[in-house]
Amino acid sequence: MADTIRIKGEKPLRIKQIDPSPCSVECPLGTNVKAYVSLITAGRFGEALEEVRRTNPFPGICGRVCPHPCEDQCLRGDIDEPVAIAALKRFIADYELRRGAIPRFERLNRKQGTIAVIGSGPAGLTCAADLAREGYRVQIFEALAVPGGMMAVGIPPYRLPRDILRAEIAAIEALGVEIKLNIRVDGRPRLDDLARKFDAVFIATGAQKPRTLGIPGESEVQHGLVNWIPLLREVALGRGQKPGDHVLIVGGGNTAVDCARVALRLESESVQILYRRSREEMPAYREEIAGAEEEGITINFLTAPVRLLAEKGKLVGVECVRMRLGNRDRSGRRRPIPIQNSQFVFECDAIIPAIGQELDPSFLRGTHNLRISKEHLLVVDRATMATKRKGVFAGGDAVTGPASVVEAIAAGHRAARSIDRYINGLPLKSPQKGVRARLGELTLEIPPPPKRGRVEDAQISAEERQNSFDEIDHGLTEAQALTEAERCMRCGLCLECTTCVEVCDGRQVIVKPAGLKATEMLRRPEMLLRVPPDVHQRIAAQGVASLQYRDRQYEATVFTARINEHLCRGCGLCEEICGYRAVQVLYRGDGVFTARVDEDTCRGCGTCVAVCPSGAIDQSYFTSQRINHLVAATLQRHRGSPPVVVFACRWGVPRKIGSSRMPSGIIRVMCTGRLVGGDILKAFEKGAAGVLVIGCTSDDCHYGFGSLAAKENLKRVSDLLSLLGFEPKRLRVSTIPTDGEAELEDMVRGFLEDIEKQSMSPIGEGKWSE
Amino acid sequence: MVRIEKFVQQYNVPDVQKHARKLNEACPVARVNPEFSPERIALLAEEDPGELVKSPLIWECLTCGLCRIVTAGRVDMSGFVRDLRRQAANGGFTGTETHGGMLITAQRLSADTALKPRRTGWITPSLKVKSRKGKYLYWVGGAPFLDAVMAELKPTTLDSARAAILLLNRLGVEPVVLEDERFSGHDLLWTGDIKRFHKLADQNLMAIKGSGAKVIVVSSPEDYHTLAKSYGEYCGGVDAEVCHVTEFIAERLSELRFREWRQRVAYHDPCRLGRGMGVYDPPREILRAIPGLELVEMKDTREFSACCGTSCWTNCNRYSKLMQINRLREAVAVGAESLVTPCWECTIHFRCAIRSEAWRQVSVDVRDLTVLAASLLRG
Repeated sequence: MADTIRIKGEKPLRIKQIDPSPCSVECPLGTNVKAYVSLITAGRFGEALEEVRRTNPFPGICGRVCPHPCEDQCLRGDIDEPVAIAALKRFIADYELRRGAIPRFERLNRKQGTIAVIGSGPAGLTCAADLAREGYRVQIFEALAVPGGMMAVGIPPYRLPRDILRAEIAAIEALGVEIKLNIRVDGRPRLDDLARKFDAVFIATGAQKPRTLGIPGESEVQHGLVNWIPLLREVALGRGQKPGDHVLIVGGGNTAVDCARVALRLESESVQILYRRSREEMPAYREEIAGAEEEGITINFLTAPVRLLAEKGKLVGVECVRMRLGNRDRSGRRRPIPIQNSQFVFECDAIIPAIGQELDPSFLRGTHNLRISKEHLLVVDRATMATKRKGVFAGGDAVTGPASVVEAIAAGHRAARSIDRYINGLPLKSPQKGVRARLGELTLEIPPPPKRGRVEDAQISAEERQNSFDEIDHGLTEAQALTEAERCMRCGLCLECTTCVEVCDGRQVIVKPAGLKATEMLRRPEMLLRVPPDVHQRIAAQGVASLQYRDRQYEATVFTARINEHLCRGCGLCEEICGYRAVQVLYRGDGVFTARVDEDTCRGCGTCVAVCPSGAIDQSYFTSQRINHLVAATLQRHRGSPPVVVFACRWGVPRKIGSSRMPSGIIRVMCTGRLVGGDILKAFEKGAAGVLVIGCTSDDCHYGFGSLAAKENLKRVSDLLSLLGFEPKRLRVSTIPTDGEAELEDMVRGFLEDIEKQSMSPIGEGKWSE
Repeated sequence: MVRIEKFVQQYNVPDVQKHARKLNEACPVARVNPEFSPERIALLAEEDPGELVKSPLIWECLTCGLCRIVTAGRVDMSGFVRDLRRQAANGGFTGTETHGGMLITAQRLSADTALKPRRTGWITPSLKVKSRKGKYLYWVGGAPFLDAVMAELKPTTLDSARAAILLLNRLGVEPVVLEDERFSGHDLLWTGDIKRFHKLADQNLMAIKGSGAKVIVVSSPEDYHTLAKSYGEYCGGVDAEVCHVTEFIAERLSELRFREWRQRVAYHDPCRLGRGMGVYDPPREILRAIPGLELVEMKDTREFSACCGTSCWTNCNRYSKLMQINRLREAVAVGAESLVTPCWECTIHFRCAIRSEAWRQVSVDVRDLTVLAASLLRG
């Protein structure tokens, strides 16, 4: 991910555009940041939001609480400041809500099956939403009285307002997902009951048990040792009560800061944070730390508690010790080491340890058969989210320990995919290899953009904040959003403008005058006509469709690939070669795998035909039968010159070949990748003295991969011909630049002359000698 | 008007009815293809011979020879099908050639007398061979062509040929390898192209005579069956002793030493070697001579061996794949880590079935016996 952007002065800026854009790569969901930010600049906020929803069901939430790793990778940050990606996401989510539009998800399928999800946090809700969109019936079992998991009870309302949360969860319920509240899965029902009654179970209970301090005095304190989980939960439910007058929070993460800011708002007199490392190592978000300090919360760095002091069970103080930083530990952070004789006492009446979370396994009663790690988290296969137990999956904080909402969403997606495959009896590890087209790097020189910082959205002042749970950040206004979105540099080679989709000839049909014989097409190219998808489908269904134009009759056919399922072995060679992923191998049950062509995606290059070992795939119009028929016809008409067969691809040789000095025609295919080695051998068997194949170079190949596939096929033929005793010159494979018509004639004539010079005697029953 | 009565009588096809249930249960194709059975072929032969000749049924049959075993030698379904296919091919009805017809077309082309084959480029300098005359001749068959078409599956077929020559060298034999050897013609004979089969046979017999060889060692079971049996049946026979490479080696095992190799191995009897030529024990003796190797027998073994599922590069389809997987599962069922066979085609078909992504669930190594033996030679 090299970014060598130099940021200096008036000289032009050389930007290495890397595909795909770094922001999308960094996002755990792979959200197409460039697309939605671009749509925002165009004022297409609704479409921008749809784009986000393709990967993220909680844009309003993530726009507020995501740690936005995308912004850390934003290349704009090398010029001035990263684009405010999260704020922009929040803007479009709020925009929709403000207009009264209700977030909606589309149903994609109608599959049969039932799934139980334990926990209604982001992992559980995402998994449920994905499965419900596929048509499954999903029930979520939530222990608390409110849905949302940590989004509801771990993140205070001043960071995440309740109405946003409610609206985004409601969208999921609208898919038919049933959220059953107040049900702990540790009695009736139990995990075993759910595993029995449902087709699959997803455990997404989070890590809800705070780690204890583990210092002396803990057991003596009956009042004053506060568990932050119920504290934040009560706040979320609107029933918060101040934990104490002088509150100490131990920890350096967002939870610790959240607890501190919440305690302040609950009118504690003094609130301080104890963190055992320094400011640089403190993991909470910078904004949160800054906000807390602005509100008057003191953060005591390099301080750790060593003993709790209690009188009659009530906490009265905490003995602390100063720390210094030593060498780095396994996490890469420098180890805190206590400084001898630096003890002192903090007076306080409440202490809130916020030093980490672990799984609360109490709901896993009975023989649950699940593996739990020594960090007290569930163990799963990270790629499939499957536990040891068949049909039981797990994800989110329960597996990783406390992590961000967006990571939990990613886990939910992964689990849903696995569960879908599991219910359909497919192997959990997908046989498809991910294909990422590396389009390479492009160095642009552009005038340097004027430096301007990010837009800062307004916030409630620090004073006002202390007394209210209202959301602190107002969010961007429309004007601010448009300005900020324009700072995006559209990294990567693709602008996501979708023009290519409109122009791409995926929906083309071949049109030729009615009644025209195949051999008459040897001297004229096929006519291609672009048609709307539904017309393409109709023509495909009919086989050959009749068209009338002016006063002439024409015939139209599609030229996509077709599969004879009986012959298909499910070997997957077609799937491997197809650069469009238009043909895939599917499981049909009973150990039978068969390939299937997606008619909408197939571009008709025919490369899969050449690669199929059992002859199961053929191409409409450019059938094997047609090609062999044309080879025979060509050889019958050679008129005195040596019998030579010329194959050419449509893109390299688009125009008519009318010259009478040319051989008896060119057999055209869409791409030379279509040519089957056996058919070329058969041409020699039928008496060809030579075969010339003309195609595009691999750089120019219209289909990208076809030219390389042709090269491999034809090498095999060449090797076979050599072994048989043919002279290698008899098969020639040539490339032609697009538009090289004059060259074409020379190429063919040159080949004919070379073949005439061959001294080898003809094969077959004296088909050519005179 | 198609006359097939003489074949029906010659191969005892009416007896199929007597053994119909046994045949249908034993037939490897009938086990996976619900539309196929030996009984169907027999019924159609009686009711509508014209239809039978045009039908794909005669191309779905693998000619594996199991029918003969199950009927105690009475019904020769494979001979019947072979001769029917001649009728079919004459009428323009053929099976579906695999790999775009590359291999069968190459065989047809090689029958042409005007072409002079150039096929010994694969011999490495460390292998000792003679190019013209000698007492021993090693028959290469289609190995160079198989490598040209499918070299992704390693070790390749030519590696097996090289291994065979290595073993022969170790036994003090420097075989002749002919430049003008042509395909033996097995696939053409069994897919109905009798004319070109004869052309190939005639040219091969001349070449063999020209070499003066007295002993011909063959690796491919199909070529072995063709040279040792079919040539005799159709064109006058080879004037030399023809033996399979495993027979040659098994007789001389005392001269070879193998390294230890601890594995549980199942042996697959190829149709043309086992049922076809009665060679069951020599390959097993070679395997037993390898210290540490534990040889186990699969459920359908020796004369009941289940065909690998694809024959003559014709009609390979989903049922072929199922047959391959079923056979591999038999190996897994007896706890074998490797399935070993001396047949080039069986090896290719099994490996092809495993190669598909979706079948990673079958994990057994498929090994060529000659390559295995050569790789374990000691000293």
